[in-house]
Amino acid sequence: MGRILLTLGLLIGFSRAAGVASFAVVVHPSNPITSLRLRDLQAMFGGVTKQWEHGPKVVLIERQPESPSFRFLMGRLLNTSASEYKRNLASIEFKGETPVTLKVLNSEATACKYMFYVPGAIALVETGSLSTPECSQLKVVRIEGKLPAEDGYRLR
Amino acid sequence: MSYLRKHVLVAVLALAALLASILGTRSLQQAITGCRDLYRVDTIGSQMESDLEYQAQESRRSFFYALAITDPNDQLPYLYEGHAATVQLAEAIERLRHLAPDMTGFADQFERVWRVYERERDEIVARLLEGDTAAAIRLDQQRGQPAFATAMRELRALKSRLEVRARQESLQVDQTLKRSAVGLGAFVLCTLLIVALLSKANHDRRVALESLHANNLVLAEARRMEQQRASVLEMVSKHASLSRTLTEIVEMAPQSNARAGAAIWAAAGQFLHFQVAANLPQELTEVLRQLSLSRTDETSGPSGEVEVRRSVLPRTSGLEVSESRVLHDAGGRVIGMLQVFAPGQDAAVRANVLDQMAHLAAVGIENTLLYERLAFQAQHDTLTELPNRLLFQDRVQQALQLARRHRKKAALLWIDLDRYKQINDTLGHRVGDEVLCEVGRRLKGCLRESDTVARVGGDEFTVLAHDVNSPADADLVCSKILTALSRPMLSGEHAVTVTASIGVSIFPEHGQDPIALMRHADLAMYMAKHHGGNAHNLFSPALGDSMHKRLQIEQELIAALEHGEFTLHYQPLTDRTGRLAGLEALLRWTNATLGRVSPADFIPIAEEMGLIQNIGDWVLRTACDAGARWLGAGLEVPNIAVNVSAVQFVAKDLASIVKRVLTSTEFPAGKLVIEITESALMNNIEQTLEQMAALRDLGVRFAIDDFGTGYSSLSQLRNLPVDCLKIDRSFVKDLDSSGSGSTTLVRGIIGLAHSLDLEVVAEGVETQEQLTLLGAMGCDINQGFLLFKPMPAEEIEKLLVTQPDTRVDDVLSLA
Repeated sequence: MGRILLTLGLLIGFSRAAGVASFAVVVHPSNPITSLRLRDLQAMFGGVTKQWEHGPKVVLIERQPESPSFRFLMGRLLNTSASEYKRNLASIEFKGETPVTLKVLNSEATACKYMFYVPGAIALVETGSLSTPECSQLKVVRIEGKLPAEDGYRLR
Repeated sequence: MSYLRKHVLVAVLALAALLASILGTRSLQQAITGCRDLYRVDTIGSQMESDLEYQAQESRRSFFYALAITDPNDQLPYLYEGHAATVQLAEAIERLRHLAPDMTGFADQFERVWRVYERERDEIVARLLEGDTAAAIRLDQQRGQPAFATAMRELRALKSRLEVRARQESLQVDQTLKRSAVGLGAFVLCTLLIVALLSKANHDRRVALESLHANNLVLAEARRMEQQRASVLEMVSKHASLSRTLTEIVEMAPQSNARAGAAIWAAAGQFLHFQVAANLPQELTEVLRQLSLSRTDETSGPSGEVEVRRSVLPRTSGLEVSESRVLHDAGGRVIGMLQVFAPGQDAAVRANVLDQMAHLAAVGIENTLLYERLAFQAQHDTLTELPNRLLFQDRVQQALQLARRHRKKAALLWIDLDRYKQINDTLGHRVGDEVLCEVGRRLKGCLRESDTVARVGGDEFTVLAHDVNSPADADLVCSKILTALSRPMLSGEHAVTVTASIGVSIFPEHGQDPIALMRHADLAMYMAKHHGGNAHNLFSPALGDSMHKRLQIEQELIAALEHGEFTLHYQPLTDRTGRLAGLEALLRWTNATLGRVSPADFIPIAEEMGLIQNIGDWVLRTACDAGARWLGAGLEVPNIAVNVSAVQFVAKDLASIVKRVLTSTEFPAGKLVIEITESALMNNIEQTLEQMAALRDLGVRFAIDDFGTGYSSLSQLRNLPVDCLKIDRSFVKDLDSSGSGSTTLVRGIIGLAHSLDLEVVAEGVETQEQLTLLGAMGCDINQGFLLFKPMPAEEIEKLLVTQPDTRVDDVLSLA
């Protein structure tokens, strides 16, 4: 775990120095999931998947629209706009389906704190925040089998 | 309490204290442990209050705050605070386990129910954060609140347990504290006792140390005194000045009393004179300096006199005589006094110091007196206490230097008593010694104080007279001395009269140094004595020459016999008919340096030097040998006369020597005539008679030589075994036909001799008139140059060959 964080730290440092933004997917430490496919991730944030396989309800943690992680979520992961995304989520609720639980939090730290209390929460945070005390206790999930520091990581 | 008991008691108390301290310490330890437990329980209790309950309530409160709002961004800080409180609560439980392991079970129980509450709360929080506030509230009411209440109950139960335990601990601590108090009390008591005993022991030790210190001081003092004593004795042994030695001693006075001073008097003559003082006021020292104490005998001592004068001391100094010691020498004679002075109110002095001072002072003074005495004796005659030869020479040396510097004269007198030996022999040595002392006193009485009288030998005195202007002054002194000595001296029942012979030498005429002056004065004295004594004689260079000659004779005479320098000449004697009537052996000495020396010059010297014995033996043996040889040759040998000195006669073995010579040479004793002078005969008449009797027994004949010059007693002459009288040549020389005194004397001697049936020989017959007169007066035998001169043995032998036909007339005609 420590080695992973060290690698992440180095990668983050390198990415920042190179001017490249990188994002990590974090979950509650009690969450048994270790790796997600990109498609699964898109399904969770797109409101398609609303429950973890082990049971708990998926709670989406997002930042304000102007934050880098939200822009990355919209632009790179879901390939949509904020308004389209809101509309899509609203349509799910209007259809009578189980509504998507989504919490918009003010900062990366708050997001991490939040996730600590909610076992089914998942968030996309900047890899630079992983070293903060609030985020360090969360679990970083492999995307397509790769951690953020590894080559071929897709959330950059 | 004995030393051993004290230490046993200390040991017992120490053991008791040790036990008490162990018990007390253990109790105290238990009490401390109890206190710690109590404290821990209290701490835990308070932690329950401050940590567990507070954190639990805080956690709950934060939860409620979060529950009251809906925005997760606002909820999260409260939830986070609540989570922190929960973490702290967990830590508090862990501390509780650690502090009170026995309460672990209760802690575990509490934690268990708290975990239940936490799980419920987390679920409620999750609902709340997910936005389902209603479900969260409902869930809290249904499950959260009961779980929290359960947890609180467990917490209160735990607290109650802790309080009970704290009370038990408190009671236990109270008991333990009581026990420890008792133990500590016993410990303190024992410790106090030990401290008291140790204090006492320390006090004793301090006292002992002080005593030891005092002893050390005494020892140091003793060592110091010993060093001082050694120092003083070293000074004494090195003959340091008396004042220096005594100063060293009086400076020891403060050791007897810090405020004491001392003074010492030492013997000089009949008085004790002040020597030194130390630590005394100047005015007192001056007063003491004036005190000359009478040197009385041992029993009274001088202290009585000091006692009388003691009254003056307080007036001058305020001091008192603390102690005084009269100092004695080994013979018990008073030789000094030591006085120690101290203030009246503090007059005690240490006796041992005083004794040492007195002893050292006595040693120093006695040594000095002894040294002075020895020095005096080294330079003075012990009998008369006059300077001896050594000191006299020194005085003369100094006097000569002064005289030389001031161009003055000095006279040296050599005085020898006439016939002093007779006084000694006849009246004994005691009288002789008294005479010498009286002579010394009279000599001093005749001289000035500055002049020196010395005794330089048995009966020899010398005088050094300064500032003599001329020999006449010396004559005056000599006359004065002779007059003084001529007065009879009373020694017991004897009245002794002595005369003296005095020789005088004058500086600078007669010598430049003491030795020369003394030798010349001695020579001059000798001449005075030679001329009969009771006279004085001034040295002259001519006298010196004769003495020089005498010295040469002395030197050459020693080896003369050994070198065969002596010869015998024989002078024939003739009877009235002119026929040969005898031979007189006459000694002749021919020396390579001195030439022919007259017997009149060397015989007295030989007698004085003790050589006459051997020379006389040689003469006797040579004469007898020649006579025997002539007899052996068939010649008619007349009597041979050999002169024997008084010294030979005094020697007791003359008879045996003569006998041995006669035996060895086989010369008939009846032909040997021994001639002895009248004066020699009369000087030792008894001893001479004894010798003559022995010789007479051998058959030897005797002739009295130089008859008429001595003081023969006619009555003794009658008893002497003498065969012949030889009239001294001085009478023969003055013979004349006018009937002078000498003619009368010669006639009387011839008549006397004939009346005693003795032959008469006239010596020194040099003229026909003398021969005729002697013949007319009936002289039996003549001897002189008119008839025969002394001649060597060879010529005598020729004469003897022709003797039967030889008469004086023939010889004269031959001559």
